[in-house]
Amino acid sequence: MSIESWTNRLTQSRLWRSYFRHGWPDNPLDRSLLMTSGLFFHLHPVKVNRKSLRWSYSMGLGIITIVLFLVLLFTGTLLMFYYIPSVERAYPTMKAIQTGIPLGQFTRDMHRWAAHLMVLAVILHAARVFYTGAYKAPRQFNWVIGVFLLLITLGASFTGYLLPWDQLAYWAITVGTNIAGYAPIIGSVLRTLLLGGREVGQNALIRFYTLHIMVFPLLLILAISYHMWRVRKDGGLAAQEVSDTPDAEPEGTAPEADQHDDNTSLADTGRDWVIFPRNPSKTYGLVELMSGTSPMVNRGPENTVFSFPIVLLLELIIFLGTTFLLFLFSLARHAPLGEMANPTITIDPAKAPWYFVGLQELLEHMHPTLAGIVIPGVLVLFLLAIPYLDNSRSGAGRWFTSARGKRIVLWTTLYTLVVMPAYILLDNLITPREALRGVLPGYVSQWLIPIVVIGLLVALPVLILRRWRPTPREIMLTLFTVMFVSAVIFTLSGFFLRGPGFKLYPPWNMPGGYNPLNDL
Amino acid sequence: MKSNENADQQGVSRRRFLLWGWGASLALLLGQSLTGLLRFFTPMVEPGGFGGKIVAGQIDEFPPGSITHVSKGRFYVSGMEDGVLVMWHRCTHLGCTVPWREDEGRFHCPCHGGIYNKKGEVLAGPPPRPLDLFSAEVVDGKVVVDTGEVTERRQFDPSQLTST
Repeated sequence: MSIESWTNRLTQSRLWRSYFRHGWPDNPLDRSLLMTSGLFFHLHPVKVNRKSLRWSYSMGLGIITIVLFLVLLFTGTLLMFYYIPSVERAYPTMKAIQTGIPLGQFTRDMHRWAAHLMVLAVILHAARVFYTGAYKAPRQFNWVIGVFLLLITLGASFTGYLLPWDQLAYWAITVGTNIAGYAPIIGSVLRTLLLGGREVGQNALIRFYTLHIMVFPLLLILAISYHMWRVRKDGGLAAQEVSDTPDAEPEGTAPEADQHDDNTSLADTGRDWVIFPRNPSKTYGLVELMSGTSPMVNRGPENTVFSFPIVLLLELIIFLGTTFLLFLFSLARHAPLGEMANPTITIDPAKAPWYFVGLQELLEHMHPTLAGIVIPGVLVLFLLAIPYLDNSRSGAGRWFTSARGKRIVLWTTLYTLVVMPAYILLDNLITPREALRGVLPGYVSQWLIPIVVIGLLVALPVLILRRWRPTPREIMLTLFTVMFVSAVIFTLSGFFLRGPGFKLYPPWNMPGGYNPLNDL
Repeated sequence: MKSNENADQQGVSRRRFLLWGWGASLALLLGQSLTGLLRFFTPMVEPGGFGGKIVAGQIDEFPPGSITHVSKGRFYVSGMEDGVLVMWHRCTHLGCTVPWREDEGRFHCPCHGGIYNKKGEVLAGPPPRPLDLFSAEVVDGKVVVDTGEVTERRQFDPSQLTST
């Protein structure tokens, strides 16, 4: 018998037809049915806007994050078959995984790299969503969920950092949890809750383990599901909200011009039929059933393609590309495992994981409560508030909103690249804390001076911008850029320039052969 | 209308009263559960080990000027003219273990460069206060340290010393 007849027999069988309730997806009807009738496929829309498929728009960062998360679930489960969360046995089991178990080292490397890259991907995804204005109405709340997802991801990564129970892990977690101890009023309670004692010991290890393998993954699964569901409910990616001619202002466009524009775009796509002619004066709502407008307002539905197969194909490409990259990383570099944790010997330098090393750098310049609690708290609140401070709907779905927005981001980046390194170097050169010790009370050098200096540095670009009467979006662009670029600078400084004693050194001249990259 | 007037006269309608009662009970239940959960996560300290009473040694093992590290109890015993000072070896900045540097003659934390003198006072670096103290007493010539209680302090004071 030929292959075709076998396929026919398979697809005609009762078992096959009991699951697939539609034909082969080579026509619009079956392509729609495929997407709506399967549990996992139905996360996708039946049709997607062409613009939201562009690499240059989304860079696939959300999907990359999900792929990395899936890799983490898989490799993490594998590691759980051997790992024992006890202070006596954790480190030996790590050694055993790396030396005595086929592909054990590779599994651990994949897990480590995927964890680092997931934190990075989430941060880049957040930056992409911000700079394309995709947090704007109706997507405000999904941005809020996204901020929580960032925090949960950091928590998941941080709790995993302790589990190897080597010196690197032990002292990174000691430093990290002591920052929590500086929270006003609840600080010491919070630290005790986290550690189950006064120092990092057995209680802390088992707590971090449970949080890492159970609590944070569950929270992530829930929050990611909700995040993706909301993407659909809010009308897909924001890219499609942009009109086809980027230079034309939406308010100034006459209906005739828009109609014309619509025709040219149709000519581009080679489509020969139109269901609805686009008309911006029309709103698509559910007539009679409910009041208000749907997320489809101002949007013609005709610039779309069927999700099958293009979306699935793109997702497969991202999946393969991401895992291939992880593969290469894992082959190129093993996850580090230092000496077994020893609470009486502090390693030098003791650094936090790379995503917190920026905070550690900040700690060098001011009081721990200010650097570890107040500033991160203000930043998270700022992130949460962004879509509510900038509540205009216009300009969503386009990088930097406008040519002027692009210039603002460029200049703010340059400004921050000059000002923040200068602050780090100057503050290191004439440390007010040491210069004023015994002269003025501690809060002047540790609180007052840093607040005034940092406050001025952040406020200055906004004050300059006021001359050009900025929109709320442009002020957000400035503040976010200052925050983002500063975070990058502080992280790079803490990671590459801090050597033994957490002192500043040129990275090519680290004393004692210390190599910051060994901590990754 | 009439029932509304009645409600106004009585202040609170029965329906509203029950609603508030329900709400208050639920809030109470939730608060109780949360408190229980918090308590569950706050362990009691194991006796015997760190957190209990630990014998550091004979008092004459700590002559003036000496610094002794008792790693089992996580503390330093600093010998002085008028007695001994028992300090937790944890840096008050971010919790690193502070090593005594014989060559420098002071405590020098490698994490962020905190420097303390023999009395635990901050000479340089970011620590916000001197090294924390454990209370100690001399029983039969032995220094017994209670590691269950940590005392934070602003500066050195002779009353912090333990002597026979």
